[in-house]
Amino acid sequence: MNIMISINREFIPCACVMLMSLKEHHEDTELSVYVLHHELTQQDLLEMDQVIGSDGIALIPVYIPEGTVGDFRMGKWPEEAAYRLLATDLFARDMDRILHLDTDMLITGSLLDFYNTSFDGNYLVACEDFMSKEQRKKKCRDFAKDEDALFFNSGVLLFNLSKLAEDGFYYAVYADILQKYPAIRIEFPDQDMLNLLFGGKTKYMDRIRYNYAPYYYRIYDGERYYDTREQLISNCNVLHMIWMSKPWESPVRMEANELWWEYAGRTPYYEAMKRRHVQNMLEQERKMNDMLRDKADRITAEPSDGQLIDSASGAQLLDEMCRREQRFADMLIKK
Amino acid sequence: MMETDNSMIAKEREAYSAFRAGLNEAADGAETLDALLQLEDILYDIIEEEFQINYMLDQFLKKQGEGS
Repeated sequence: MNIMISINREFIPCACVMLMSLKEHHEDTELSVYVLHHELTQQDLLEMDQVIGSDGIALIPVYIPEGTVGDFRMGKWPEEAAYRLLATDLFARDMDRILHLDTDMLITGSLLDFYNTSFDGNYLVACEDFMSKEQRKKKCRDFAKDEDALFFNSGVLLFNLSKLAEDGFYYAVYADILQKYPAIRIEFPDQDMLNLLFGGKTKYMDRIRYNYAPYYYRIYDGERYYDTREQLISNCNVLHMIWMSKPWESPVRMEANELWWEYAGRTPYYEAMKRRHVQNMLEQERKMNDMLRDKADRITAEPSDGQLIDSASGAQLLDEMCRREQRFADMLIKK
Repeated sequence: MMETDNSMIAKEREAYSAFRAGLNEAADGAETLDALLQLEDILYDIIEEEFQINYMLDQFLKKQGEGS
């Protein structure tokens, strides 16, 4: 199976977690993993190789000179996010398909059916994105498409390299479109461009099975939110830790993240990642508390009639905050 | 209508200061992996409850806004 990932040095630990889980679920499959990067050192690559182990998996570094995808370097995204737009340029001569995987994922089952599926004449195989109906309609309107069109997520993306090359879809075409249509707002650099071009020419696979985002379902679709290990493993082959649900950032307990941490625990990066997580949580707690204090101040602000809090429920709220803070302090002392 | 005196606000401020000091101390002292995991566990609980308080404050402010 040909896999491509794009990382910078910061993402080495989570790439290793994803690749370890990929390898574990494809023991009888030869995996060629193309690692697109512009800053990894020989030492980094050697270390990744040692962490993942070399049996049945080959890491093949592909150096991309800085600025190669400069047109798509926008907003908060590192340029590595746009490297998948180089798939045809880099690989079409040597293979007919390659599977791109984001690194903020955990593989919990086989990807062989996804990888070997027939393209049925499409350029890509992907899963529907996670966004509300309103967000999707806005995206589709922005891109002058049918409001009911499906928008795909580019985290798990199978490229039909033969067809893309045959029809001339190389990076230069994407860059050219971006230059010609600057009005098109590229919010997610690669994903929006690929949807713009291939929205109606993509084969869709089951997103619960192949691109399950636990946090999305927790917020928007509770009926399909799986929070037991058994449910996650039996229903999903790929867990995608999107938005604020990345295990090293998330302030929310989720079984999917616990599963991720178990894999992370088998890497030498575990303690550093846990330290980073606690720092992130402390930062989020501070921000959350600033917000709470701001709201509490608005409740206790003295209005013109001289009353500090003008209702019983306001007083109860203040009392509630007080009791919880005392309990938090007790918890920390006991620790 | 109920008027709440300054002592209630002062009490809450005091509780908050004690909590903040405890959290800073725990963060500074989390040198071992075990201590780090314990602190992570406590932070999950704290943040989860803060989400609840935030919701309650929002509801209250909304009602207060409607009432004014």
